[in-house]
Amino acid sequence: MTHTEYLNHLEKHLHQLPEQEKQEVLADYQEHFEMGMLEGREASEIAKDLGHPRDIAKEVYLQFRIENAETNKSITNLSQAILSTMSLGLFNLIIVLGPAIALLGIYISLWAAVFSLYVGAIGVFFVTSSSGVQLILLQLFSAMVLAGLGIMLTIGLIKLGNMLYQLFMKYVKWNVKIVKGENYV
Amino acid sequence: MNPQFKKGILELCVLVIVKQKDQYGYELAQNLTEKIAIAEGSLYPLLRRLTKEDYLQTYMAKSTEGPPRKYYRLTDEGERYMETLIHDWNIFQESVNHLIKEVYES
Repeated sequence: MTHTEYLNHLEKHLHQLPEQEKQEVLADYQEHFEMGMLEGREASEIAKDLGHPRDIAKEVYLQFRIENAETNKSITNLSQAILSTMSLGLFNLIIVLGPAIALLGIYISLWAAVFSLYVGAIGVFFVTSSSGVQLILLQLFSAMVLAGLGIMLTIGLIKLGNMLYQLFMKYVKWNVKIVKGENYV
Repeated sequence: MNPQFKKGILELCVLVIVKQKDQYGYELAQNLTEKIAIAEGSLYPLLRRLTKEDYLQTYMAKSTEGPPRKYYRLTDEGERYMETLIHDWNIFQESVNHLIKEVYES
């Protein structure tokens, strides 16, 4: 096989490669032949030592595919992201939204209950009563019990709120992860 | 020798040879085949990969005769990589030798 024959063969085998990449690969082998012939070697001998153009092309392709795995991944990722966003949207709407609203509703009504405890405490305390020290003490005592319950529940609700917030953030992050396609990493 | 195995070792040999002295592809191929029998053609894809991974750097340089040549130079990163490969290789060949010795002496 002559020098040009060899390079033509190689070029044919590399036809799937982008033009610039192909020219760079061919230039390397071109130089190899030139250097070998400069040393007085026969082109056929150089070609024999290089090995079959098909084997070289195989190697080049293999490497090219590995290099481009990253780029291709981002394209598949994009379509994957769109698909996941759509299915996630549906999932969120049907399965998650209902319970989430119910949970939020319960939480808000608990706050309302706490609020009414405070109102009750103030109300009981300020209800004017004309009769006796005993009744005033009873009022004071009830107001204190109501206020105490209110304070305890307030603390509990703030903690519960934090937990719910964290749960919500986790859920959001999980959504983002799925959309980004990182859920298996 | 198993071709996959040879390929891995080829990488190490290329880095070691280039570390010794910057050289162009043909020269490198000659230096390699002096020691190991390989199809020289597989050398260039390897050089391209090592260059893309920043273990090698290329530059064009003129020579006294013929057209300018593409020279390969080992980068700092390439040298570090080579050190780990040498380390791995030493451990590997030691354990293989050990294994062979054990079998033959028993």
